[in-house]
Amino acid sequence: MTATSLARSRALLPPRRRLPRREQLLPWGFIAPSALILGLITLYPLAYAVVISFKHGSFVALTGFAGVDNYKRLFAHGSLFPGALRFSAIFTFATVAGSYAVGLGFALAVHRVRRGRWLLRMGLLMPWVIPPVVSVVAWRWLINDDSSFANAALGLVGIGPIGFLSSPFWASVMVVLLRIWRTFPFVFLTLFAARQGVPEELYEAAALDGASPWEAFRRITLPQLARVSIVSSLLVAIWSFNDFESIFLLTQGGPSNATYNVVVLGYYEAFFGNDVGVAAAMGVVGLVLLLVLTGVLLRLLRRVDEP
Amino acid sequence: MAEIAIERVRKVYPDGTVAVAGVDLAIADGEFVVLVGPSGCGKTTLLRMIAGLERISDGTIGIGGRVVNDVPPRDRDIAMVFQSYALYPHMSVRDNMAFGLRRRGVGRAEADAAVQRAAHVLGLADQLAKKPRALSGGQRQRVAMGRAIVRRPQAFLMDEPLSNLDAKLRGQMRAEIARIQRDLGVTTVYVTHDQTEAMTLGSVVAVMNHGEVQQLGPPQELFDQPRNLFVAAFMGSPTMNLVEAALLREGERHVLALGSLRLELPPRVFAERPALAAQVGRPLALGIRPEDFSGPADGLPAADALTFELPVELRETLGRTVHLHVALDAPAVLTDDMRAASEDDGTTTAGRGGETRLVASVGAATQAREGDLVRLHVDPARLHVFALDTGEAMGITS
Amino acid sequence: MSATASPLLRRAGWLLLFAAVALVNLPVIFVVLNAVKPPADIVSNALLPHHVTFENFRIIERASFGRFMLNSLIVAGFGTAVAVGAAILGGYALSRFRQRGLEAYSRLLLVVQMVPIVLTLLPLFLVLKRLALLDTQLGLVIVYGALLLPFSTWIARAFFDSIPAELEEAAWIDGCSRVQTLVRVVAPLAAPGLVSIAILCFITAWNEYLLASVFLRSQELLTVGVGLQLFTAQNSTQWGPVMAGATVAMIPSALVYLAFQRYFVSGALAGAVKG
Repeated sequence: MTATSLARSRALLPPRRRLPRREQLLPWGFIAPSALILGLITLYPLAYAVVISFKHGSFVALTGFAGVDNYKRLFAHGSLFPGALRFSAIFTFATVAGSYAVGLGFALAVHRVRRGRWLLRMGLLMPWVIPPVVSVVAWRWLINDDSSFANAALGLVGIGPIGFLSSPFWASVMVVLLRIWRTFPFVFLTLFAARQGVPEELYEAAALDGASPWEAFRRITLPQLARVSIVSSLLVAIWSFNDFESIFLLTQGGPSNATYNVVVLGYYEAFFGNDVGVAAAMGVVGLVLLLVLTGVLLRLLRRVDEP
Repeated sequence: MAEIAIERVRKVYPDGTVAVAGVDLAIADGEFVVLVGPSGCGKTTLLRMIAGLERISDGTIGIGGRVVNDVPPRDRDIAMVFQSYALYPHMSVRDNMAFGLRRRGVGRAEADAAVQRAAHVLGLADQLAKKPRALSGGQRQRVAMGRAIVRRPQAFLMDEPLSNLDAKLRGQMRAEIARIQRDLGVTTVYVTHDQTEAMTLGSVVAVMNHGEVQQLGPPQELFDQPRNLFVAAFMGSPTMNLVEAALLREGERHVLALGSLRLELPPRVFAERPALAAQVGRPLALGIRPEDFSGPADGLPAADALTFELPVELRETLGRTVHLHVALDAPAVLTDDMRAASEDDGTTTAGRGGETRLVASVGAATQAREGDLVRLHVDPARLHVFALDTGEAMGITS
Repeated sequence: MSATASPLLRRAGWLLLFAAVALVNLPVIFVVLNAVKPPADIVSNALLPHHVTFENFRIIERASFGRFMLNSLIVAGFGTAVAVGAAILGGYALSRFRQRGLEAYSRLLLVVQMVPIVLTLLPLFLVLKRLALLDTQLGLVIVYGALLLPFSTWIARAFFDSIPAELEEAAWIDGCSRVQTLVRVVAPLAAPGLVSIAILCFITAWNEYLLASVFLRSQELLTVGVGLQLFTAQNSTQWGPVMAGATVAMIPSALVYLAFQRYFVSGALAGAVKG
């Protein structure tokens, strides 16, 4: 019997069109545990917080509806919020730029090394791995007072002792440096892996074409790393905007309110201030800014993906 | 009994793409059926629907007499060989092959024995303890086959199993697969884009394009009597020469017009294919297989053979035969498939404007070189005629 | 430096790089050095200890640091378990299923990561209070689970994406049910990836400060980060014991990292970051 093309109209059972119920629900069963936890711990409080931002009241008792009053108060005369907002922006931008520069530098340098690479990678990840509390303790010892290690080292080259933590300017610098120190290992790790993935042949072709090392960097390395750079910078931006420990533990927002960022200010306002509505409003503003930033960076990413 | 009945089967994706546009196929028990066609023709989708890995949008598929539309793959008693082999990387060859048996409750000792037998047949007896990453491509392919054989299923489904192998290995494995299927007598559905595999492996071949079966039949029949342009161009290597032509009537004689050539067709052609007479005046595509040309050194042609005298543009030596590329001033006929292929590799058989290169495969004794004029003959009975608008073959018995 | 730079230059660069890395670790090095310095050396600001002493460690032990370490271990361990467990299921679903709504869930996870913890802190405080989970380890474990979940799910999804669906199809055809496929084929292959996630989670949870300080009140429940901070605030001039506390607080993170370094397959993170 040979296979032939059939036009038989023998009635076999008609097929069912839709997916059986069980199969449709299965993925949601997998998601359920996560959704439950997130709903309880993150989403519900978030919604609650947004509601609070439109109300007056203290920790103990929420009173009436406040409209956008709380938001107006954020920018009123005498409010610390604008300063904190500005510092958040500076802090975030400086961290992204600084950790990228340092991370990229190390990534490219370590890429060239064969021997002892594992040791270098190990050492470079340390600042990220250790607890922030420990980092702050370590840094504080280094810079705390006039007789600290840092000032002693500066003294060797004839620079007078600097009150790193007592001067608003230097405290700001220190806080940023600390954050960069804690963050660059992540950028290093990501860029290093990405650099490993760039085919050597591209560089060989460039060398044959007569490109200098700088040109190779500009025209091959950077474009190849573009996507990864944007994504990791986005993550760094989010983390540093939301950073609490670096500032709270080192300077508590001082001296003279110089190092307050949105998050630390919000914390103090929520737990030690009188008006939780205002604290919530601060958080909401912060979240909205981050959403905008993410939107911008994601659009940039799309542009990189389809030139 | 493991016949496979495919009736009015369609596959439409949520975004509207129609992958399979209504296929009817009745595969007999023990048959080796090859589904062949260019990428995107729907052959793999059809195979996956038989396997149960894709849902069927419309129609029914029956295996061994029962409808399996809603039956999960594990209950269909079929085995599949994937294009990428899909060997479990963390298991040894032995465990890979025994996996299916063990899942069905076969005892360890019995499973091992079955694995041993299959390994012996496939030459894998020494590899049983190794992991897939320690094996060569050919060995991995055989493990994938072994995994299927061991289960003694009702049907084998193979999705381009040889496409990742180099040419020589592919030839060897083709023979292996054919031998195994013959020995085991298991119904096999084999998907490939390579028409050579289709010709050599299948007892029945289904040529597919745009989600439909273009023609179904034994390989030789597809080669000798293609039903339409697509099948004609797809089967056979080198590709059939296709040019625009017209049939003219001059009194009692019928003349074939190809570019500036006028060739008289002997009456016996119309005796064999009466329907051809009705094609006078219609735009046609003429097909001649390269092997159907005979050159000056190939012995005497028949008295009423058609004669072409054309300039040689390229001579390719292949040992026993020689491919002569000759120029003809008639436009080429290209199927979508050919057009896509030539876009990809930058070559084209269509010359500038209305010129074509015909490829003639003749004996190597022919002296003709580039720049020479060569005399080629074709037996008119071996001509293929197609309507240019529909692509259908004219004058063959259906 | 191209391949044609002189060997001397390359050697110099190599040394410079190692020096730079050592410099980066300077703060950490000093923590350990100071922890083993006798009190006299601290006061005199000597750089290196004249002799090594473990007196400082005895002091902090008396200050309940042992208890703090145990608490951190419990909370970080269970928090990781919760997060990884949920992330495996969620990541698998996002990777393998194509339902509408799943992409929305994926995007929700991204947004959740952006939320400043401070914003949800107060309402969360009230929620936990109502559930009587304030000042309990269970409460903090659940909170950590939620904290670690989005990132873990993201990475888990990337790992599952890297396992070809064909392997599962082959298992399916071989006769496995969905569950059997997960257990026998997918899990062994995803194991290295899941270990990476677990390590990341553990280190993050161990290092966490803010949530622990807000949700734990009782002395005997404090984690090591909070305990260290309290101790430092109360004994700000006693650098010796403070540094000993810091050393002890960072050991587990450092150890876990060092021991499982190879799982920090940067490719995993980069792969997740890419996707």
